Amino acid sequence: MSRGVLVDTTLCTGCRGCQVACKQQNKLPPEETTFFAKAGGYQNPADLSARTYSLVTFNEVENKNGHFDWVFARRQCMHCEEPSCVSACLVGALSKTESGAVVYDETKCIGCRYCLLSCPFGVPSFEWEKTVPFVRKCTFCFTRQAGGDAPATVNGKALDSEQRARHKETQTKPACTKACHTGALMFGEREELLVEARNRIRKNPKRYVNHIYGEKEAGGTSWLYLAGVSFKKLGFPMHLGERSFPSYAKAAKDGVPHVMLGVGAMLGGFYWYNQRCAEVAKKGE
Amino acid sequence: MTFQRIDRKIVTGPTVLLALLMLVGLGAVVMRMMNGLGATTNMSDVWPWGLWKSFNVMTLIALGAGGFSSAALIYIFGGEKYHGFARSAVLWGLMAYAFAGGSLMVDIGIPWRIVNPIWMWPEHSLLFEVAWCVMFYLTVLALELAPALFERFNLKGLESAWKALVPIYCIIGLSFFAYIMTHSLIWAVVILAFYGIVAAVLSRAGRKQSTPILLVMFGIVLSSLHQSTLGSLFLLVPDKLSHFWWSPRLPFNFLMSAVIIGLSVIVLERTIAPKVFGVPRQDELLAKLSRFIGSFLWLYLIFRILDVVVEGFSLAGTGHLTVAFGGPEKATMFVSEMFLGIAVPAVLLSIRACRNHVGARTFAVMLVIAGGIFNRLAVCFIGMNLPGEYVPSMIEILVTVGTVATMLLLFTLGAKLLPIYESRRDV
Repeated sequence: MSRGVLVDTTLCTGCRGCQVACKQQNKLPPEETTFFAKAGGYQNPADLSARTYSLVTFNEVENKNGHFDWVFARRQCMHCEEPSCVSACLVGALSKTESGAVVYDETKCIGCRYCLLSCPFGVPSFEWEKTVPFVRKCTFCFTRQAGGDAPATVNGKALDSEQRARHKETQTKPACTKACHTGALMFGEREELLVEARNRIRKNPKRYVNHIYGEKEAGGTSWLYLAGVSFKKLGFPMHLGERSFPSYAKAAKDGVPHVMLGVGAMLGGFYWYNQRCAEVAKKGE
Repeated sequence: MTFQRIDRKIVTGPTVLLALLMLVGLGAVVMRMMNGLGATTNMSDVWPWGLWKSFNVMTLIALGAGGFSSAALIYIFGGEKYHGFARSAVLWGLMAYAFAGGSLMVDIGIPWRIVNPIWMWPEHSLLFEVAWCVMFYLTVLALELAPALFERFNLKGLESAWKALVPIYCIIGLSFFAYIMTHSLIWAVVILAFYGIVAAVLSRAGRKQSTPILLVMFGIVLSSLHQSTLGSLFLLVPDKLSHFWWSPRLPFNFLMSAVIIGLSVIVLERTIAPKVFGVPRQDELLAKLSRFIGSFLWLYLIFRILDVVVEGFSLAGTGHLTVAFGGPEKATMFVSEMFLGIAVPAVLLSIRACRNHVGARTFAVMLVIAGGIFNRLAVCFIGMNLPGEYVPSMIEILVTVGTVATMLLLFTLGAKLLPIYESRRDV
């Protein structure tokens, strides 16, 4: 089963605890930033980078009364169901794991940046300032997800099964979802999160717009979003369509052996025909 | 057909100038290696592909397409009369592909890992296909040029070995290529059997050819694949590339334009060579070849316009029409490309008087080449609907200038050292 996260932006208070937890988990160096450096005001830093894998976005949205509301959303790797970056990578440094995470193996990467170009959400970042640069992005904490077995004893005391389960649950969550204290980030099976998201919309149709972002965008993503205003106002790309981008590439790639046969047959045929014509002409003389 | 080398001094004014430009380019490469991509280029996370990918790789490979286009014309489609163009086209192709690969080492983050695709095989990746096609095609170009070396250094023994082994290399190469592209042994066997049969049938039908026909076929198959796949690379960015250029038919656009650009480069090269090297003028042949380019241009023009019309209709209902096509400046660029890069040269080359007139003909093919270069840059970055803008840095431009200078320098050197151009008495 493939896991995901449901981001309910209506519950987010913009505390950026998730952003800090992400920095700690990935041991990322700080960034020098200034408020209002770019459009976005208090959003800090202004954008994702090789040092910032996840970012709470601050959006000013006009409400019914003609005033502005803060609406907070979140950017990080969406962990696409059919990722463009994985389709793009020519050395297989990027792959989609069964648990849903799109992971990067820096020991293979040559630094061609086709993944940056192809990402529909502008997520992967490059270590431009380094002389041996790698690609950086949210890992969905796949190492946390894979581990988390509780130790047999803690302070000399054996753990009971309930304690073990609780330990496992907290230790295998992605760091950001563990840090979130308002329930805006919910980690779980993608299918169950979709059911949950639909339930929330059905129970509270006034609170939410009827759109689960990530359910279908560009073939669907592991991360899903709910919002009270149009996702366009939160800066999400709205023109991606429902077809996955790698499906275009796959159509082209699947044609390779057929082209090899077709072009070969055509060339051979023309060559043979021209040779025959030349022979016949010679005999006629 | 016999070929001879250009018997002229190697060190001349222009070659010294080219060598100086080469050194400037080398200096820029050293700067990039010492300081990293961020400090020396204007690329960014939003604009990850810049001048080097678009010009040094994508455009150079299109400019080098004359190698396979002329080979197809001469050996497959009965254009024997163009045989004299074969070697210079192959030498130029070799330069273009070698420097596309070399430039890639400057562009990628970790240059020494450029060999990784040799043993890492993600069969789903289009860029992986391009990498292998280019590697194989470089060997094909080198093998096609080998007879010039055999003649120059009188290597009769090597020549007969080459004749015997090249077809085997081609059949095994094609089969191996099919395997790593599909990870399917069945496809590998099918391709092996198919080209084995082709080789057997054609060896009986064929007269003595100077180049083994299987090598020519291998080159054309690889070129059809990677020239089109360079376009397919951008199938992954329907959300970013303006739909004036993006469509599911992008690979066909790229293949057609590559043939047109490649042949136009041959016409241009054959117009300059008599002046620079004193090789015989071939006006009659060039006029004929230009007529051919003209017909291709009409086809390409119709295809491109239909392509955009179809794309417009398929987007009409989605409400994303303006987002997909981009602003009026994109429309202006598209119309300019269609008009100046395709329609005007198509008209010029369709008029007999213009084709026969050196100035008009050269002007027309230069428009085609400029349009082709613009097309590759447009698909790679100019045509992208992305925030901000990308303008190449001075270091990026110097590397590109140095690359082109080095290609011209080595081409000149090749023509002076090896029998590349046809002898006067054959014309």
